[in-house]
Formats: sequence, structure tokens, C-alpha cells
Amino acid sequence: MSTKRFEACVCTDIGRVRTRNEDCGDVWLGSSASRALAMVADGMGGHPGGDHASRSALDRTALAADAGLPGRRPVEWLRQMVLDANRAVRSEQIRTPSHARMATTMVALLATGSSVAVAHLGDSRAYRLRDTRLTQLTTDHTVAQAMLDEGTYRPEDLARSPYRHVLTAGLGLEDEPEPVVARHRSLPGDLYLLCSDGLSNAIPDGEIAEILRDQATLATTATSLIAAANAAGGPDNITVALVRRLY
Amino acid sequence: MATLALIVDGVVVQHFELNTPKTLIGRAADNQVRIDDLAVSSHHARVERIPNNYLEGIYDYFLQDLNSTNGTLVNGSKVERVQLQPNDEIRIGWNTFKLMDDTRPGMEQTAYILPGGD
Repeated sequence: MSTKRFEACVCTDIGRVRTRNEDCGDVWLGSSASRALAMVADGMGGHPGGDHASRSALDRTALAADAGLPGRRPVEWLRQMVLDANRAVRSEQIRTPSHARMATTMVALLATGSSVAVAHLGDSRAYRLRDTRLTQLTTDHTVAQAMLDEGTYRPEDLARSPYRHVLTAGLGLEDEPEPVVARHRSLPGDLYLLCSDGLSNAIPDGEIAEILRDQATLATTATSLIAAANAAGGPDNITVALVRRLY
Repeated sequence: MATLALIVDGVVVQHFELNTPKTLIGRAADNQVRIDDLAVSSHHARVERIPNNYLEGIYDYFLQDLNSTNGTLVNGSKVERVQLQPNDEIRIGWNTFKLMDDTRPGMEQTAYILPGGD
């Protein structure tokens, strides 16, 4: 069948404050666009090699994608891919001593048939727009989120928390991290967004939803998201990857 | 060590050490921070000191209003319960306090915790 099931797009921008883009992201379409893979990685600022860490994760993901996107067992495939990417970052740490403390977040989405699998470590996020409703599919691995989960924080404490950017999980921190991998049913018309915190910290979810709801081409949507984050000061690198299920 | 500094005309006139899990602020004699001001309720507010489960050696301070008559303000907004940050301005009656905490590192940039310590 020649009709595409998925379309995808990726866009990254340095933002307006940082002097280097430590984010990475890419998208792949497999088997005549009947499957799609997207990933975003945010190298951790303030540590030498942050850009190398996210690049290692991206390279490892590309390697897996080039070998073919799987039609079955997407959760297991995605989990393995994230663990392989973590191993790649760990190897790079050993090879390059000046990058021994480099680390990165990672969020990846594999869309096959009528399901999507989402894996993440850190505070890079996955969202789904279904009809007009935006749903966050990932829960940030931050101290602030953990304090909310344990009951120390109430939801209204999050915005003011000094621990919003303190991560409890990522690639390059340990040999066997435990990525959170979840499978969701997808519907025709679903629009999926993966992003670094350069987007989600810069503009509120409501503004993200508004831009996604415009039903523009994916390229226009991606550039609008980045423009909105930059208009809000562009405090960090911004990366967005979009996957739309067409039918 | 974190303290609550009482500020008058921009000058710190008194430090109250936050060295117990709960520090009571009010007009009555049994408060650790006792304020002689009719605009302050007898038990007006409380600072809770909670050890952070994720960051070793870090304490978090939460300010809780105890249904006071005139309310508790942080940076000009009425609050029920908030986590205090260094240099937050706390208004209780006619009194202004600031949280002073020299143990807390700056965390505006992304950082991470190494599993099992570093």
C-alpha cells in the first residue's frame, strides 16, 4: 500500500541565551511510512560534553532506526534502544575523560499500526494532541516531580520549586537505568510532540496546545513552537519532533 | 544553617534560627518567633523544616499560615502554604522577614543527581 500512515518533522534551535546547542533530535519513517520513530535528547547544561552526550544518544538511535523499525513488540524494542543509547554515552565517557560526567535526557516515540510506545529518562517530554485536547504522556524525572509524587509538594508548588531542573534520571548517570516505557493506543489524526524543556519551560501547555491545534503543516507547526519559545525569551535550546498519524 | 531574619528599614535587626522541625510565629508567649504586634495572631504561621529525600544535606522550608486574622504574605501575595526560597519577603502583620539560607546551591541551570551519591 502506498498511502502514508505517518508523517514526521523535527526542528531544533539554539534559543536566545545559550551559546551552544546541546539538544539533538530526529525522526525516521520506516516501511513506506507505515511506522515512525522520533527522538529528542537534551544534553545537560553546565557539564562538559553535554552536546556529545545527546549526539551519542542520537547516533545510537539512528543506528537502530537504520536497521529497520519493528512491526511487533515496540515497547521491548524501544526499551532496548534507550539502554543501548545509555551504553553508548557510558562508552563515550570512558573514551573521553574530559566528558566523564556528561549526561543527557532522552524521549523517544515509536509509532506502529495503531499504537505508540513512548520511552523517556529525564525531563524531555512527550505530548499528544487528540482532537483539541493536549495530554502529557510522560512524567518528568525531576526532584520537584518526585516531591509531588511523595506528597511533600502540592501541584501549585511545582511552578515555584527550586528543583524543577534537578533531574533524577538520565542517560550517562548509571549503567542500567530504568527508562519509563508505556504503550498507548493511537487514533487517526493524533499529533505527537516530543520536546526538550527549552519549549516546555518557556511556554505554558495551553500555548503549546493552541499552536498544535492550528492544523498547519508539521514544518509550520514546528517553527511556530520554536518561535513562541524564543518570543518568551528563548532561555534554553529548543527542540521539537512531531509525528502525525494520518489515517 | 537557615534563619529567618527580621528586617526593619532594610536592616536585619534579629535572626531566628530555623533549627527545629517546626518554628511557630505569633504573638503568644509559646511561639519560637514571638512578635509583639496587635496585627499578628496569637499563633499566626509556622515554618516547617523538611529534609529533602533526594538531595543530601538539603532542608526545605515551608511556610504555613495558621488561619491568621490578617493573613501571611510572601512577596506581596497572600499564601496558605509555600516553599520558602532565599530572599523571599515574608510579611506578618507589620513585620517583614527574609529567609536566609547559605547552604542551598543555585539550581537555575539543569543539574542532575548521580545515583548513589558522587
